Amino acid sequence: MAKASVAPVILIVDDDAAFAASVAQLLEAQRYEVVLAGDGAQAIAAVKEAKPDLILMDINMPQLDGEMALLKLKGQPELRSIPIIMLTGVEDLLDGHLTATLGACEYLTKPFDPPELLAKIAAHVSQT
Amino acid sequence: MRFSQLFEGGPTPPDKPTAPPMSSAAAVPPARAVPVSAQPSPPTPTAAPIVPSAPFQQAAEMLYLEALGTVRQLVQLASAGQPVSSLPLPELVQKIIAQLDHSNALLYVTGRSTDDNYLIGHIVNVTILSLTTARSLHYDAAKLRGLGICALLYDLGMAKLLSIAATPHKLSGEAFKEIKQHTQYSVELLRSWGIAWEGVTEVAQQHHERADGSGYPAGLKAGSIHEWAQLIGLIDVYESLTHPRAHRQQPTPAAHVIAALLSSRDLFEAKYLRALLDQISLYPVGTWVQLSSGEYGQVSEVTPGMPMRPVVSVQFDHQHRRLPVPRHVNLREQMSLLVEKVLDAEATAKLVGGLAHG
Repeated sequence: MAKASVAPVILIVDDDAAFAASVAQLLEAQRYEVVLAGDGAQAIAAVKEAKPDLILMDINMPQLDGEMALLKLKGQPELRSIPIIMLTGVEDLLDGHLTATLGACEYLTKPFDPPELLAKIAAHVSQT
Repeated sequence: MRFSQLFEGGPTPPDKPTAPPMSSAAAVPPARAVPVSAQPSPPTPTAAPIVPSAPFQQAAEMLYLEALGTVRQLVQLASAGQPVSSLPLPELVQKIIAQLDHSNALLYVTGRSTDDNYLIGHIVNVTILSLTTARSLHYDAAKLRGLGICALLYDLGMAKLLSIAATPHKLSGEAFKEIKQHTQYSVELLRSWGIAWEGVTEVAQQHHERADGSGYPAGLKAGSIHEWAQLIGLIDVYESLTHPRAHRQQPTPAAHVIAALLSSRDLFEAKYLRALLDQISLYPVGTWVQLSSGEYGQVSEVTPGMPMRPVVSVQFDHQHRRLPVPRHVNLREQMSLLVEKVLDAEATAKLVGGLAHG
């Protein structure tokens, strides 16, 4: 089914509901459509329905963490082209290394700089 | 190849012998009889001891420490940009191959991480697990040795990256951009050290390339990626996801990671995925599990071709009481039993009083 809206869809994957809501508010103000998922498993379920143009992914989450979700999403050829930006409290360079290996296109640590996040999203998603 | 073909009933014969000898050299203690069950169980057609005997455990511990020491030295030299005088890597790799040839004891310790610098334990674990996985690729002694040397050297560019990051080990947006440079750092370092062993430059450069061309730095496809880079690249991902890190004290169970890797179509060639499944299995050696009988034990051996049916050293009954003598249960033969669940680190510590390996 075709998307009802022409606004780019961003899937925010984070178990911190308050943080996710604040990011959603920022993105909606920029006319992005936002879908939320509370962990990696929910994200994988949501991707097929929401068909996001970009995913913001936390790492530390229950059920399925962000690195495993990244592996599962990038492992599917039909989903591989969706850009995934890691947005996480994890600051270890080796985790950055792993997420780069698994196909993440950017990595931002919390607390993030809103203009920087918007610039990184805009670099991967075009708004018409 | 379909995902389901990689599990039981797939093309790999279930009665394929386990762990063919990798080398005739034996720098390890001789095998000795290990007590198994008070109640006899069917014989198991395997050569390795069911549970590593004390000399094997001790030899494995010492060898693991030696490998950590060697890699720690390499990482320090790489971080400081200093030259190397000598690299006794062929000898170390030969010892690891000989140890793996005679016992699974070394696999029990690969569940560990070095939490002062994860890179060191990661490289050692990747080396041991790559050599183990290569059992299914039927490499001769020279290829095994070459693979092991490449595994010890493949990721030293990360040491340089860690050393030049503004705050060591911390990640910022800019540092993330630098990460993909680490393969080039590795190549430059190895060249500056004058290292000319077969494959080392290619493996350092290509271990993040993926079979479908989606990897980096060059976007090479399977046919253009060195076979050791493909194998080590797969084990690099597997080890990273299954081991503790600062933020992940409860790593993802191997079964989940391997299932995800198997379903990651096109990223890795099927023959390497099959080798991983055959030799590491869904329940790697050292994993604590509960059987469908309610009893608890530690996987002591995997069964190539039957990744859900390992050999388990049962050590606790269903009421958590330690058995006087561990009982050997081969799930390939005892088809009515299954692995019910994998114990995480917390449950394992509770069960064995903090004495578990890995």
